[in-house]
Amino acid sequence: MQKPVQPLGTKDLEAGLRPTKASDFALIAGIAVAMLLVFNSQGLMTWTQRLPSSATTAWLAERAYEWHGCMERLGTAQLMERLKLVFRQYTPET
Amino acid sequence: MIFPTLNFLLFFLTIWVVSWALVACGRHGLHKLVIIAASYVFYAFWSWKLTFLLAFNAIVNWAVGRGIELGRATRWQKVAVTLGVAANLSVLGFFKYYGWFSGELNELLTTVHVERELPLLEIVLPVGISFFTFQGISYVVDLYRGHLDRARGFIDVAFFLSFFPHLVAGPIVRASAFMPQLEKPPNPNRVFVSLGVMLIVWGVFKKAVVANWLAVGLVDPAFRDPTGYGGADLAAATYGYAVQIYCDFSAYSDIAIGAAALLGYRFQRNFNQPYRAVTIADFWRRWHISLSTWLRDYLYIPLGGNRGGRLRTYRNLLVTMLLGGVWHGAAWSFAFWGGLHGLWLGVERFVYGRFGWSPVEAARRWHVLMRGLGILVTFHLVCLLWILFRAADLERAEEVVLGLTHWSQPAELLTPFLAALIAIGLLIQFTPSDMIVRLDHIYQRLPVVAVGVLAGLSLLLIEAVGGDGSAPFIYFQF
Repeated sequence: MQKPVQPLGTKDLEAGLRPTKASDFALIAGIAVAMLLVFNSQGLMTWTQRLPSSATTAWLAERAYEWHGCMERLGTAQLMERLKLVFRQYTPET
Repeated sequence: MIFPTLNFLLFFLTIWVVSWALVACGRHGLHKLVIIAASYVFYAFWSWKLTFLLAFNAIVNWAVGRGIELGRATRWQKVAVTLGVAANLSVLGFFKYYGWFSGELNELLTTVHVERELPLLEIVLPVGISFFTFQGISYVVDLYRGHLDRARGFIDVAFFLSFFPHLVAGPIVRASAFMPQLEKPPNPNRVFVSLGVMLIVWGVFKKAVVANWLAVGLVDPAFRDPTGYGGADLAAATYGYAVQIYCDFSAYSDIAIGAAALLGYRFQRNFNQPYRAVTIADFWRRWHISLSTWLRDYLYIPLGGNRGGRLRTYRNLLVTMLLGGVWHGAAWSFAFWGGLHGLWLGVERFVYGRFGWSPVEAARRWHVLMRGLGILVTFHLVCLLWILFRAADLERAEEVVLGLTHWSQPAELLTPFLAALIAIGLLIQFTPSDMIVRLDHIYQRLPVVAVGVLAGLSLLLIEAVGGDGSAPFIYFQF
């Protein structure tokens, strides 16, 4: 039997890290997704419009449009747009 | 479906909830089945027809594994492993190399005026085939060598080969490292959440901001028409590609490792700050580690490694790197790229061997100034060889190399923003090696809500800086 040159698979990435509960991720993901929905409602709307057309996706696109309208009235959608405009000054033309 | 998209986010969050719910209910078997089904759905986003190839791959490797188990301590074990390796290589060879081989052979036959031609077939290259066939080989060979204690059931083999985080662009996971993790359900109280979140956010930044903008604004235009640009732009595009390919591929690996960690599974590290390598041998210990160690353990060592004298060692290095190059794609440019890396590895071994050192050992003994020089020389050599890797063909690569000597034209493509991205890509090579541990300590001190807000803010910033849409990862084509 041939011996491996070094132990197969490594734990080096996890070395020194402390494992936690899986449920922590639910809270982290929930907050991050909520922030994306509030500030990047334009992205959600664009995504729903690009889905294959069907009654369900049309309904979804309508709800996303309404949601984006709400966020525009709140002013959070404009914040993201302004931030994008700031960076557009530096990024290449596409 | 590609990683940094809303499609994948929704897909992953659904699988995450279902998978941990099943673990909590004690339904480990069903948990595995759901992950396998999810992986096939993930793959079907490219082509549902090719999921049959994935299933075929699982059936063949499972059957070969049974054969190795049944034939233990007899010559049938060797027959079974040979058949298993041959079956995996045949699948890879047919889908990836038949078109290239038949095209080259037909050209050769035409030049010697032979009328017979091999039929040219329109073969679709299944995404990720190079990765899952190598993992199939890992399963049968690890079993044969005794690195795996016993053949696994079909569900475990299918899970190992199709697990969606590594399915289409690696890391190439070893059976002996991964399969023992399937024995017991993952522990919901011992999950590396900080590692998963950090790697995913960091990976999305590298892909959506650094790799995408460098590709769109600098590398693609320069390599599309090298004669249209001067040396300054071509040099910037060469450095830019070095950073782009690192940020693109390491981003995929980071997201894959992070996603697997959040589901309770562990993958091997795939990159370790490769552009701080002091020699080419050192570079291959830091770049695409899962492939370089695979090639070492399943090709270089079986060829004889460094056991048969100096000349045999050079030959083995050259053959291994040549095949490693061709693994990336069926084209002469990849063969030359791999071959030249192999050649340089041989040169390093010869030079340092005169002092009785190995290239990696030699780098450790150097003075700090020599190490700096070594990093510069190695990085530029790697960049020069990346030209072969990126160019559409050898002619285009030659145009880039020749263009690098003409500096009369001012830079048109390079902007301060793109220069800053290149600088970021290079600076991250020199961050402390225990960066993840330091960040984990900060994570442990913060309330989970604050981590969520930080993750959300990071994703919003990435969305604001990144361009619209996400280009496919470079390594999907391999």
